[in-house]
Amino acid sequence: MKQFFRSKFFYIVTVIALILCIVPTVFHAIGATFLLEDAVAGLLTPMQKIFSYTAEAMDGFAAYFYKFDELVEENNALREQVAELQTQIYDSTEREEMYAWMAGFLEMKRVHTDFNMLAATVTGRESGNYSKLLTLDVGSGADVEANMPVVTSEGIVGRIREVGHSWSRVETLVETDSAIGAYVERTGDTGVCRGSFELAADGLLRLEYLPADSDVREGDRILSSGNGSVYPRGLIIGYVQSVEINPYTRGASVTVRCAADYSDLSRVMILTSFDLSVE
Amino acid sequence: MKQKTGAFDKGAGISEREIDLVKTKGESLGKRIRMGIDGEKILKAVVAASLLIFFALLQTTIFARFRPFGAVPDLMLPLVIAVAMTEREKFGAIFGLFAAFVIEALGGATVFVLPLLYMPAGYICGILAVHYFRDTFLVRALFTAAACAAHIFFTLFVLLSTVGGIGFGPALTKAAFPEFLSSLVFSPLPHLAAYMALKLFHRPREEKVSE
Repeated sequence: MKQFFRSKFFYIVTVIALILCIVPTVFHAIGATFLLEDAVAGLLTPMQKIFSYTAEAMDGFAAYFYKFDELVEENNALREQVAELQTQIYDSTEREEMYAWMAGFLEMKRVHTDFNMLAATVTGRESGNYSKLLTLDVGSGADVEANMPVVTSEGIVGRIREVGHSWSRVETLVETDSAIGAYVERTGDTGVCRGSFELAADGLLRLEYLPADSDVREGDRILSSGNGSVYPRGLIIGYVQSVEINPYTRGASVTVRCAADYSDLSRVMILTSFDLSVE
Repeated sequence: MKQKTGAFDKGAGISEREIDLVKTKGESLGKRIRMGIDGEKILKAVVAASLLIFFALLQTTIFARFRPFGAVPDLMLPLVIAVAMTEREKFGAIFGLFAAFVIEALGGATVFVLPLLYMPAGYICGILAVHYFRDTFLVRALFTAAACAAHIFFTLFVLLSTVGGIGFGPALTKAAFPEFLSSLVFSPLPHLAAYMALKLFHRPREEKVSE
């Protein structure tokens, strides 16, 4: 064995090894580049790039296996983030709808400066088929009282009939035997809008007690007259849907479609106070 | 004889004994000899260089990225051992020098020490494999483990001398030992590649000893 380490070849390669250790190290120490090292690195760097791309591709694929826990964790975090963002989007959409809804009342508030309104949400509807009652989420706790008018930006919904601490019940205009003083906006003829059992399901009212010579026409807007102290004057009740002349009395039988759409009510405004003397 | 073999005359460095071997070893060896001894050496060097480049790139890209067991395995050292065990000590030593220089240059080392490890590793393993041990899986594993263990000292030396503020313990547990483990686990890869690639040039042990 000893003769192998005493051979000329071994001495030569040892010297070369020492040179290959010392020279590049010294070059590095003085901040210079060893030419041979530069050549080797320069020659192999393009190939190294190809291997690096391969490594990247492999890493991407292998990540499914060796980064599984990390990916699961990341996935859960992303799920939470998505849920949070969805909530934000939902809140934002709801807020947007609320703004759009409230914007409808701006015109009403501009015309009726004496109105004080309280927003309420429709939480329930009468389950039976014989009445059209709505339940709101505000009650006496929010100073809601019986007979307060309930409106939407389109028109009158009805009036508060019962009040609990945190709820109240609304009797809609179409409810049988409900009555509201009304007038035809175009002609000024006054009458009374009444709910009837036959028409309630279709959201219709009957306009009665119009003068015999009334020139009421289809499409005329019917407004509240303010008589009766429940509803203020000038609120929209609805639009004339049909006019029929009674052959016996020669009086007009007028059907009015309610301005408020009862089938799609989710939010309403309660008029907590208003001035009856204002025309 | 010379007339029959054509280009394989004394000028091409071929001996009478080798030409006799061509006759007795069959076609595969015949193919080898037909390229001439110099041609064979060149081809062998090209194959070895290809292996060297491939594993150097593998080590500095893919394994450097994945870092199995928390460290980049040294694939060049098992490759040097594998080549040396097949091609004897001189080829092993020279191959070790090249391998060390390439991996240091490619890896961006600032202190070059690996030539002092790879060259003796190639030289010693070549001698041991040819003159003292048979080329078996166990012997290869033992040589590789011993060389990787020697590598621990080199890693510690480089770390402690170049990286400031690192203690012996962390250097051993965070770098040297994981590197040893990683190198050992992945060492069959270069061994197998070298065995397959240099199979064409294999010669029986008796022949290697007699040279």
